[in-house]
Amino acid sequence: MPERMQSYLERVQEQIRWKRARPVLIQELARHLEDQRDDFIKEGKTPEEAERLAVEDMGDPVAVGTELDRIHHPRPQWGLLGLTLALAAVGVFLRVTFSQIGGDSRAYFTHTLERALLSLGLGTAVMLAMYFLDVSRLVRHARALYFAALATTVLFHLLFYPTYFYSTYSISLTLAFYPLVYALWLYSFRDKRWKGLFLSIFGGVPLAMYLCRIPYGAGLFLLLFSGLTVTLYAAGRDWFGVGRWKGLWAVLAVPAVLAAYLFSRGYLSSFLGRVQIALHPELDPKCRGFIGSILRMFWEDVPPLRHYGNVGAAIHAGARVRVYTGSPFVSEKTVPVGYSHDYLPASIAVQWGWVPLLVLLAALAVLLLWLLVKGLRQSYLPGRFVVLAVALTLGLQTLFSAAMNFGFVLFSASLPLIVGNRQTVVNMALIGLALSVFRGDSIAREEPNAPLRQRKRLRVRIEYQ
Amino acid sequence: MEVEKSLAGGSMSLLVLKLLEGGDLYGYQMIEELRRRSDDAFRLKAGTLYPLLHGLEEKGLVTAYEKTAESGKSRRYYHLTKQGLGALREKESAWNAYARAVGRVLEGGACLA
Repeated sequence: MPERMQSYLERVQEQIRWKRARPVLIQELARHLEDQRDDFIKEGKTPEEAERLAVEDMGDPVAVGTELDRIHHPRPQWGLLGLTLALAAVGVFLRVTFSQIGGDSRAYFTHTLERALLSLGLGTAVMLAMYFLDVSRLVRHARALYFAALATTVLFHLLFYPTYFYSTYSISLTLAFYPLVYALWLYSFRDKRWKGLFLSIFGGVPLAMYLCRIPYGAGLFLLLFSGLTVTLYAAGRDWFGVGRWKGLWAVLAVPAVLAAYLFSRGYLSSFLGRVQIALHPELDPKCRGFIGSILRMFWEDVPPLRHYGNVGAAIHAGARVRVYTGSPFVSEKTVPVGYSHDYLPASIAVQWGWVPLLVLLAALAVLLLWLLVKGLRQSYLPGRFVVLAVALTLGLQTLFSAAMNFGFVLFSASLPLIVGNRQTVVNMALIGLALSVFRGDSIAREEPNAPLRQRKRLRVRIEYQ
Repeated sequence: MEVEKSLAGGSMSLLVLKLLEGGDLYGYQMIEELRRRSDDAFRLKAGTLYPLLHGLEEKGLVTAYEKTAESGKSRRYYHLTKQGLGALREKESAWNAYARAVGRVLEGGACLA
């Protein structure tokens, strides 16, 4: 670019304090300058004169830069960051408290204060790193990220399968990123017509097949549900350029075909059987409905609030319940409440009553709904995809966890930000990424050739004769 | 005739929204179009237009997207939103009322008693 134009743009740039905004804003002005200069040259001006006139036509660089600086600045997300951090801190408190409580639960809750605090610190660092990340970089490398996720999965499988490290809990940590990876993959196929639609749906197949292979039902359901939601959302905006309704019907055909396939293999009836047991664990209380039955028994005598001077005593008074004699799962006709991290929410209710648990779930719901509503308002479309994937991942996990702890055991899930040290770090990373979308929305720019969002207008012309 | 700056300042967003009602445009096109349609009366400076456009985008009255223009170069196009259309209608009726009022005063001539 000629020196005169370059120095004008530099002068504008000096006024803009947000570094990330500079190249984005300057690019638009640079293109304008070039257009103006080219037109002056066409009018017969010399290149030098054309450049001078083009720069003069732009106006005072300091005033322009100052005005742009006033409009474009990062949108800090202190409220959401604070709420996430507060919930994660509550998670630390709960994990450590339940680890210190005596009784049989001790063997299952082994979180020391140091390790829980370390997870909070690490989670905060990762969340902030994601928060300051430019999401458009992820979007630009969407396909590379997709293949990296596949490669990581294969590598982990080869290295760790089937060791302790490869437990469902460990694997669920990496798989929590699958919906996000899929959403970015899908984004890379805009305007690629039927081929794009097919490839974007096909991209979910290896991920889904792997989840079947483990098997990890909750992860599979999460991927299918969030994948379908994001794809329907994209098709509804004619993302692939095949027409809105054609795209929607094509996407809707996927679950229909999938259901038909699962039905033919007999998986569907076993899943429906599982749903039936989740709803009525009393139908098979000693085997498939065992956990559901126990959890429902806990709830029979849980008061709104419970005060205990001695936490150790609470476990003996409230956490042990009589279960079926002769069950192969328990001895001494008792079972502790907290025998798995995933049942921590039920333990909260037994320990302190159901009101504190409801308050905790409500706080999580506020956080996730806040993310979702704000995400859908973003003008930056890839940002919307990212937030939708994150909110669905964490939202479904919360829903599964809450349902399970209330005695509807369909999928095993850990309550986000509350259960698990490593999971807290993963959850905070996902939330940080969503918040980074909000933070940079003012300058988030899409790549060229985004689909035109033309509004259909009905024009009525009245002519006078 | 070039219109006085202060007179044009307040109504510039009205004119920009009106231009976008006819279809999506990028900044340079808007300036050219405005000049053409006003018989060279409005020679809007780019330095005024872009902050104005970004401000309108901030308020949700317009959205923007990148698209390769006919010249083969990528340009940032602006699109009038539903909310923008509503704002345009409001601004139009306010402007019309204002113009009618000014017109009536001018038509009345100097009628001081």
